[in-house]
Amino acid sequence: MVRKNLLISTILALVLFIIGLPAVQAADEAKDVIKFRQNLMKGIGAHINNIAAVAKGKISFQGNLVSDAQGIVNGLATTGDLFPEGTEGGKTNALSSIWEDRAGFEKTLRESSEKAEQLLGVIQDSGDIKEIGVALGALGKSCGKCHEPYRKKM
Amino acid sequence: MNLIGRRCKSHLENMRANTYAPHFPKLIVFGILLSTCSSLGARDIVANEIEKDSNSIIRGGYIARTSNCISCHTDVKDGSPLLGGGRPIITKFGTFFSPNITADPISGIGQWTLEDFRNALTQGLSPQGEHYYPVFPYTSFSAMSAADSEDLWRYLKSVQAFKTVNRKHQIKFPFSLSLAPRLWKMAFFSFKPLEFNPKKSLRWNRGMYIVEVLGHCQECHSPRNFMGALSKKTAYSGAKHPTDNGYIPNITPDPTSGIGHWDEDDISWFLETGFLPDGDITSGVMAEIVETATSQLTTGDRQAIATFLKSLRPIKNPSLERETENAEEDW
Repeated sequence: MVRKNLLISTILALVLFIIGLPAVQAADEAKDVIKFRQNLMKGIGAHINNIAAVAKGKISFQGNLVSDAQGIVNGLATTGDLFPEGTEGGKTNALSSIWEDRAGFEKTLRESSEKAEQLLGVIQDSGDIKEIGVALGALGKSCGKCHEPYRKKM
Repeated sequence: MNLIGRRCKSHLENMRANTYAPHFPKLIVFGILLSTCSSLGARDIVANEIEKDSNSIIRGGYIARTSNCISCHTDVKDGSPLLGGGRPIITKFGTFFSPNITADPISGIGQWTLEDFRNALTQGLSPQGEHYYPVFPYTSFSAMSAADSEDLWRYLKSVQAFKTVNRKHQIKFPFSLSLAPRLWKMAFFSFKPLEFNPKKSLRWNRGMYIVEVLGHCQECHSPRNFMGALSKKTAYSGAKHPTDNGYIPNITPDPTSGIGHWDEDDISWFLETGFLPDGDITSGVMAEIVETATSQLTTGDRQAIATFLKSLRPIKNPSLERETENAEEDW
């Protein structure tokens, strides 16, 4: 009898463990995903800053322009994947409108990706500081268009 | 924001077109006059008149952008007429709808004289002697130079007229009483001309004029008292947004709650592009202002704004500090 009880409780515990495991994992993952995407966004901000320093004429070194622009393109290419279901709560400024209006969110993201690719193109093709500034400005506007409806006001 | 972006762009284009287009017929008439004029003296006078008028309109267009007339006096809806009014402005005291300021004689300001316009702009008085609510920033415009208000007037007259009918404000009681704005003005509004500060550079003085008068930056960036009057002591130190969850940044050079860590170049760059020093981008009303106003200014004027802002007394605003500290987490 004792043995049977032990067996049942072991099975029960195992079942609970198996059911419970993904839930625990998911909770951890959401927190980590949020942190991850925040770092990604900060990284994009840093790339933008470095390009801006050149566009403003503060820095004459142009050796990093391509890799910075490439970094923005790459970052934006995965941004959409970093807002999975279940990551709308917690310590995040992402608004629930992302998940309610997924198509709109993806669309504004795509626009930003296009602008980032255009910036990369300008850097590779002309390298003219003025043109880079204009392309960077256009990218910035597209960032704002996504932040406006999908990020908490700060 | 898509809508706003598109609207602003198309209106800026319209505005540029409107600035010059209506004057072609006039120029042609003058051209005919000129060609029939045999006297050199008369020709000079006419030529100067043309130059004065068209330059005045161009300057007025610049003042309209600097003063950001377009943002408030144009409804956010796509395709709504430039300066036709109707944009809702939500305040603690109710919702105001900006009026039509095109030259339409019935809905707009087509029947106003320059004097009427100046009274409205600098005294908050309508041609009928009614007092305007301070949602219209005559509190800042009161020190606008006579030359600038005349240029602005000529520019407004040159913009295509629209018949858009003005919407009635939805003001809460007791502020809805016509006595309310009158009392408010008695308590909080005084006309004071701007004084040139000879101890400071020309650039600083220009910056002060743009920030304090034309750009009316205080109207958002300074805290207000319970009656909605601006606090002079804590000017430019930011505030919680009165009607939504956001906050209005402290633009004094305080290192922790303000923009002390920005240099003048950062400010100019922000005004030109909307980029913050950390690579983030502004949004909301300020994004609109960057698009329709500050990005349209001359580089010199943006630098002047930066010089003036950096010269302000740093004010710590504890209510904003927490959010600034967390700014790095705020992406």
